[in-house]
Amino acid sequence: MKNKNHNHSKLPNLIIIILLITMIIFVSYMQVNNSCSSYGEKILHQEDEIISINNRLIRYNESWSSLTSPRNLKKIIEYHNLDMMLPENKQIVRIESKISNKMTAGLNIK
Amino acid sequence: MEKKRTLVIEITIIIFFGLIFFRLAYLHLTPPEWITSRTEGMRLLIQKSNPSRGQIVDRNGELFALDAPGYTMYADPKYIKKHGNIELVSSIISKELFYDKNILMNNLLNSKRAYYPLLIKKPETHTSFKNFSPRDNLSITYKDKTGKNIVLNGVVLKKERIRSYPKGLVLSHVLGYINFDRIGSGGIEQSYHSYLLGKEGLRKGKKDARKKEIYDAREIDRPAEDGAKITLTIDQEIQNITEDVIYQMFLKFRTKSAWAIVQDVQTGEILAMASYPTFNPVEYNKVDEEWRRNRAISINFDPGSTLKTASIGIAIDKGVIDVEDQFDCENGRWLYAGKYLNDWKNFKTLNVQEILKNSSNIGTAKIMLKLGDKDLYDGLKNFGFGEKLSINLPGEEKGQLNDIKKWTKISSSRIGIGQGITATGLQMITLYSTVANDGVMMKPYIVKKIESFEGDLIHEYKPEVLRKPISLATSQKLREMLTTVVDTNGTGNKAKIKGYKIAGKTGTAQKVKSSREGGGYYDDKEVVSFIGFFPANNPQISILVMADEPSIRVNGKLPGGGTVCAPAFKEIAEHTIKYLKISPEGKRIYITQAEN
Repeated sequence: MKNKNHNHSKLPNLIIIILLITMIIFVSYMQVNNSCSSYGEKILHQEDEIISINNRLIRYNESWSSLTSPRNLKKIIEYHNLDMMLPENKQIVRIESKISNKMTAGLNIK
Repeated sequence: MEKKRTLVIEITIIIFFGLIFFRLAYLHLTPPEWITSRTEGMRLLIQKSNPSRGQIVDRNGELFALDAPGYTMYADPKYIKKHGNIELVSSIISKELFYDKNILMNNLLNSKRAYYPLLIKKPETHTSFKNFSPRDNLSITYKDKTGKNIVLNGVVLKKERIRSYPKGLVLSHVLGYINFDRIGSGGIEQSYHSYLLGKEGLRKGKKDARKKEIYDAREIDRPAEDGAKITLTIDQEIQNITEDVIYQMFLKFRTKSAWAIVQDVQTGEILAMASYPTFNPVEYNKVDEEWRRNRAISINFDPGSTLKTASIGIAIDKGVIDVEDQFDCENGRWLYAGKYLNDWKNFKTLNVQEILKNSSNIGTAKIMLKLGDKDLYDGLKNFGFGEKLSINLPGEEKGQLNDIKKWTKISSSRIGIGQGITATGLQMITLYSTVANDGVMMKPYIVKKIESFEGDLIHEYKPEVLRKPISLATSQKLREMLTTVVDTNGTGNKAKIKGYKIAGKTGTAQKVKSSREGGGYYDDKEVVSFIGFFPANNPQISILVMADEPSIRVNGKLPGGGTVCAPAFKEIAEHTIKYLKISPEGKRIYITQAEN
């Protein structure tokens, strides 16, 4: 009789263990699945961010290009009453390479 | 017994639910086709991503054309009727986009379409989008004056790529434009369309109930490949001054049109190419087609006296004449083969140098007769007349040099002075660059390199020698002679720059009447030009300036190339000299320092 009781209590324990293991596997799977999904969300978000940063960069490049066009620079220079001009030839110091003389450079001042 | 029964029931229940659990788990992990086929269509996500069209930059990397983010705003009248508020949408949109509210409301109420365009393909930075932001696939958010966000269901901001030309009108004829379907339809945009286009991207996967992509279900992810970057030989600084100068010339002499080219004589690179009237590439359809024409390459004109450089050069090269040879210029009027030929002044005897300096038609015509038809024809062919230079821009013309079989007795005397032959601006500047470059004819080119969007070099264009139409000795003689044209009493003296030796030639050609108008030449319509290079002792840059039909008279007469174009040449040349820091000896070395 004692033996029978022993066998009877052993079976539900086994079932409980199996259920527990299954539950653990299930929960782990869910957790892995959730974290994968959350990483996926993050990646998607970052992909969107890259696109939006790239778009911002394009817009900055575009407006920089527009700002630095000679016409706009001229307007800005005039607006600030600056008297700017390109140097005359006599204001330019030219440096030529003098490889034959083993010099790094030579001044060519007129 | 009872306990045993309970155990059996327990086991049965566990097995039953266990089986259900395992079956569900199995279905979840490896769903069979009968399940997936039902949901696949609904969950399938296929996204095609458009590539950005390639950028066009100048030789210094200055951006001239790029794709910028933008939107098309449209309304879905059907959706608004079901889930939105037509009154609200109409009142906000009409206020922000300056629509008539009643008309808009009426259109939205009566339209059965799912697409009613409100604002098509405008950049994100467009003022109209200031208060709008995209919300989801079927609605947008509007921020009112108080800062309150209002959702407009059924109004959509669809992302678009918008072609942007940040420098505005500058270089528009060279850049071209793209049409509504984003197909290059002019200039570089057209001729390099296949490079600029890029490749469409594809993303295939699944989406969730909110129509958002499920990342881990992504099957295909092939990003779009942006179009290649085209680097031009153009320099924005030189381009800008060239455009400014020809515009001023256009205004001052009220010309019909004007165009100019700046070229590096040693490499053949085009540094500037301008044409006026001009247009905004973004609004290309708002101007007449004629305004979009790149005149520098697409207008065939009688080159007039500027061609004398070639014809006299050929005669010298063939050894038929020399610089000091003298010709009787018949006191300004000469009858040959039953036709009169006139000079602008009553010249008597001139040597070859004086003939070129004073641009004598009679002197040149006599040289041509001495040279002979065949040598003149072959010489001009060698200079590239009558054939395209293949600069790879749409609309390039080849000019007209009639076959020698069609020449009459007087043909050489007229063709030699630039009549009865037509050429493009590009052909003419190539002629002068050849003279400047010791007789070596370089192929003109405007694209320096093509790079993939990742920066890999696809193609690099290098200076290319076409041929050598004249010898070094002839080119040196011509250079010397052309400097006399810019002397104090030469026809091109207004091109003179202090401290620099300038070589050049003026041209004034009457325009040809059409056969409907009886043929011949107009007395009051002419094409004037000045083409030259500098420093003449070591040429670096050549410049062509042309004006079509200047209408403001100077001293009661229509002005010639020396009056209209030579000052423009001077202005462009002076700026270019300073900008490229070209010394009078022709050196271009660039360390600058202010003088005390």
